[in-house]
Amino acid sequence: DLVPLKQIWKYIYPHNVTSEVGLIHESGDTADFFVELVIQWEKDEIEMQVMERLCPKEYKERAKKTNVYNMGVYSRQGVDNSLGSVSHTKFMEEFSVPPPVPDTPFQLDFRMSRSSIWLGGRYCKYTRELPQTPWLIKGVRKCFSSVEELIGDKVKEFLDCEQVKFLASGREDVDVRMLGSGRPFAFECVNSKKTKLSQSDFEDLTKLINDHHKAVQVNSLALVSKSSIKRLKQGEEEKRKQYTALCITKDPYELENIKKLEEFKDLVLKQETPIRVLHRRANAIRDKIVHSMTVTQLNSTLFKLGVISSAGTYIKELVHGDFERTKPNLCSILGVDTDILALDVTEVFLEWPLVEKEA
Amino acid sequence: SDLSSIKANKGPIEDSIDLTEKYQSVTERYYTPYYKIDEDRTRKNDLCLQLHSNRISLVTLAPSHPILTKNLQIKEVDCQVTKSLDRKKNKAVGKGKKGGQNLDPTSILCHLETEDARYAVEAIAPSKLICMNKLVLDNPSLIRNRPDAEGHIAILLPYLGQIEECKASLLSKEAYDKIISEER
Repeated sequence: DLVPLKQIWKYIYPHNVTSEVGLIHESGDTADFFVELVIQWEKDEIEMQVMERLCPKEYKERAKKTNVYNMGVYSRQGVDNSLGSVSHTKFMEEFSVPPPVPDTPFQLDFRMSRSSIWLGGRYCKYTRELPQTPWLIKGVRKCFSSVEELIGDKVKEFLDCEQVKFLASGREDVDVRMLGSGRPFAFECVNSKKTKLSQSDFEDLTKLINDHHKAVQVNSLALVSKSSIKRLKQGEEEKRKQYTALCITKDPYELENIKKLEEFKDLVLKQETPIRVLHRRANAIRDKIVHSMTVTQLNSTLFKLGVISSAGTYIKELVHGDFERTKPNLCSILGVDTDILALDVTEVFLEWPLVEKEA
Repeated sequence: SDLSSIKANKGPIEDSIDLTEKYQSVTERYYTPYYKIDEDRTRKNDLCLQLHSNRISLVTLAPSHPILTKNLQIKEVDCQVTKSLDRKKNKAVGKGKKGGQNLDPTSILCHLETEDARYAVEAIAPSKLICMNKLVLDNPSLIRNRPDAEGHIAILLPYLGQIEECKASLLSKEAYDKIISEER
């Protein structure tokens, strides 16, 4: 097997650069800082036309599909694959080996970037009027901001980075508050100028974010490793959550009747996709578990319900039943029409952030 | 409105919302009714489309329907609409409800067999059928007892481009109430 030409170039060329700049060369696999060289030559297309002679059928087809090949018919991968079916002799009939030396100069462009850093933390949302992520309907904003933007704008400003990408362990509806220790989240900070944060930097950033709007507050900010990010998604799918629901009954209830809810342990629910999300989710039945409930009376028709449930449980539907698409539900258990007036998420049981240990 | 209009509320849940609003059922709270009344005013096969804010719609009987006003017993909910078309066999797969039966406003969802008459329930909206309500197939009395809740007959996904035209062809609650009260 021949060593690919690309590999040989990679062994030799870096020495030319290090001798000029006086820095040590490291492999791109482990380095955090990248210099990308973009080399273009005006006669590339002309040279590539040999492919039309070597694989005429294939490249005639591609020339027609302007939609698919809008970036050009010849890609390195594509040409590599096509040449797999071309014999050496056939190739040498159409193209000189070794290739001719370019007779005109080429354009050199470069781009410098660094690998992303990840900022983790937990957020609380103290309002029922803010979505977690930007809310747009047909390109028009339904709400002027979001948790993502209120935090992200400040992170971007403080770290001086090109772009921030938001990730969270699940989400709550616009009209649901996020309380307790907050929901785990992370931002991927692309091309960040500031990459090392001291204790006081974290304090300053926390203050910067929390001063921005009182309804969105963060805590436990820390740099996290890229590999720990998958914990956010795992948490969303696996971890329990705790809620407080403000419930109202159509007719006055008996306290001892609703106190019975506290006796349930690991109650299994069958939830058909709630009608309120049925426009964007498949119609399916999912098993969910209500681990425990607590009840606090407020008046003859009003009570507070504390719930700990498995990931993905629709709490609003646990209360009103969604026309019996969620079974059992509070209406069926209590024997009285029950509806939910307000919902708070009081805990997301996920250990986060997982702080990187100093090397 | 802007950022300053949003206030932070860290208090207990009962202090975080306006409790003075009167009790509304789930249907009243989240759905808007549109009515299609029967041209034949002796038959009065009046129907209602309960439209959720996300466009999903429930087909139900209107309060003026004889099944509700005369408290008729429903012997059967017959989903075999034609020899080859059984609404029970509807399969709407995935987010886009692929394969869901295509419905015109006058497509028949099912027939309600009562001691008095056999009523055809129309789809009302041009839409895809998501599902017939299994609960009423097994327990038809729900249609009479909980018409706009557990007794809904079918769940539809109206076609996005046609929903406004459909709404315009139906009666609002105000218009419907006026017509019905004038009939008495």
